[in-house]
Amino acid sequence: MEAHYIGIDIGSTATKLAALSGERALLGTTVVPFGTGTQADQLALETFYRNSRLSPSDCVRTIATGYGRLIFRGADAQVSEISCHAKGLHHFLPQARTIIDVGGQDLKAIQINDRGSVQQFVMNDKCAAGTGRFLEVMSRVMGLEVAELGEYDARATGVETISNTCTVFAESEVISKLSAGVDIANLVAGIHDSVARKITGLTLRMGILPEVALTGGGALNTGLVRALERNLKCGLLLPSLPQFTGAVGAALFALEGRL
Amino acid sequence: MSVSKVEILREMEYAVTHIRERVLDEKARGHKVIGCLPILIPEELVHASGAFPVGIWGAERLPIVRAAEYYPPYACSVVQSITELAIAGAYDGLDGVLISCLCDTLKCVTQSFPLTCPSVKPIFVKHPQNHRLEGAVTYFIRELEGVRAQLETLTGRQITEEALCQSIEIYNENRKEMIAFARLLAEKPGLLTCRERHTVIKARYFMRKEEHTRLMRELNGMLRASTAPSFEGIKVYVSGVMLEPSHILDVMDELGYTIVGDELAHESRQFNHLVPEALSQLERLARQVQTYEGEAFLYDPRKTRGERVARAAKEAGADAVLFALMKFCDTDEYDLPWVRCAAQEADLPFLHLELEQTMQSAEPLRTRLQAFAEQLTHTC
Repeated sequence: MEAHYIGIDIGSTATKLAALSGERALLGTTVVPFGTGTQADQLALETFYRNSRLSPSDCVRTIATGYGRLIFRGADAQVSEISCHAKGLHHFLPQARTIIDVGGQDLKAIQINDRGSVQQFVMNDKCAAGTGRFLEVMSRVMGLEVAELGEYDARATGVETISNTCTVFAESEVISKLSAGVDIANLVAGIHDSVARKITGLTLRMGILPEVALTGGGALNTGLVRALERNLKCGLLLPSLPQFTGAVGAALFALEGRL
Repeated sequence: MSVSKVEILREMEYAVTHIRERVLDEKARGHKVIGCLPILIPEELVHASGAFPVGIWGAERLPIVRAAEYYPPYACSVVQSITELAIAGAYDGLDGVLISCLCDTLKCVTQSFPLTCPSVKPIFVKHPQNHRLEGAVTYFIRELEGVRAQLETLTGRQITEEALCQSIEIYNENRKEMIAFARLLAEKPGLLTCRERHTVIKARYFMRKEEHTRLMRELNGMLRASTAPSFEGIKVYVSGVMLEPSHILDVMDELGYTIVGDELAHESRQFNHLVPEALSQLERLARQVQTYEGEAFLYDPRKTRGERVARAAKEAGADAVLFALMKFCDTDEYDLPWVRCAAQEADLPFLHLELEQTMQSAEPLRTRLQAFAEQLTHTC
């Protein structure tokens, strides 16, 4: 049995959990595909311990983050996801100064210093364009899984332009283009470009410091990564476990025990 | 907290939450009641007419349904909720309203109000946008003469120079107490919560100024006599139109914020400019508009609002500037970059929060406020 520290990121569409040892080694992760307002937090803990050699009784401290952080009863403290993403990303990629987090319904751009402290941040407001939700809606219209979007994008020979102002309008544009028989791969590339333009605009409002890293579920989508690199005109650093950046950050706060 | 302070705050809270009762009470006593819409209304004229002036700044968390008939979806929520209430008959007991047209959306209200609330007499106050010119004074005196004449007709009472002079003095006294109040909270941060500070300021809209001033004198006396608490939270200076819905204030209190100053149109910008001396009482009111510097809703070719905010924030001892941006307020949207740059040049961390009066939940804003607090206190 080993003493460990838990970070749990209860997001809008998924709950992510990470456990760290006292030496900051990643001992394990779990993700469940439900977010705040469900039993996802308990399910994530149960799933994690069922598949792990760790015991809940050896958990020293737990920090919660994400939208569901305030209602999770098992936490010793809660920290905003902005601070957790900064902390987690700095742990994996200390050279990054700008973090873009594409979550289920949130889009965040965060500037950090060389110690990983947040300097400034911006978030999307009441608009799903530029978030994971936008990609979910579009993939459903096209009859694809979100996980397939990267492969389709790689086959694109061009980019079908889709507006980035409103998910609902963009959805009807996609339907129109499907009716017109446009190439699906080019349409997927256009959807990624639409999201990337939204993210680029938001990030430019804050200011971009090199190097730039992408976190959140969006970083798993290779098509989105390519579109973002094209729009931002720079390469992106990708952590090995982008979805767990916030959870790892929370676990690091748990380990440091300052809160 | 002493009992007296609690009682004063309770009385002000009562005024803020029992507006209808107050209006009905004034009517029962034979007084006319005149609504005053945003932003810079010369309330002294209403006071001098013997009528009771009541603030109209929309409503918190009101679902917008029927007002949508009159505006595009990107109209500010303050104006939309005013119209929604007008359609619902909430203003039917009023005798008149003073409406300014200082922004494009308020201009729409000058058209929609007579349609949505036909029983209430609208009186339009048309400020001089180019307010620094001497000609602006001449122009505004003429405008105010028209407002005065309409109020006289509405109330059946002549607004004499003496009555107006007395009203101006009553309002100036109230402004002085409010300025002192704001300074006291900057000098002794944490003496009142963000919610309490807001209530004290908001109560001005729903009490006679003499009554509010009396309470303010007592409250300020208590605050002066109080020892400054050992406040370890975050001192913010707030810029923007308004900081509502007020559950945002509860989130701020919960996260350890205190407000050490503001230049909100709904709050300090209502009282931080005294009416100066001049040859006539209408000229005094006209010249007050000239004293505004860096006012978002008046023409400001030098764009001094940013510098003014940064300077005031520093003077108030703020740790940071919070820009409460009312969604779809293009006036403030244009000023936001100036205020942000000036704050950053003054080494003041800056956060802009996009608000809507109709927001049902403050939770999305909690994340921003919490992250900003974590950034400022270096806890994370």
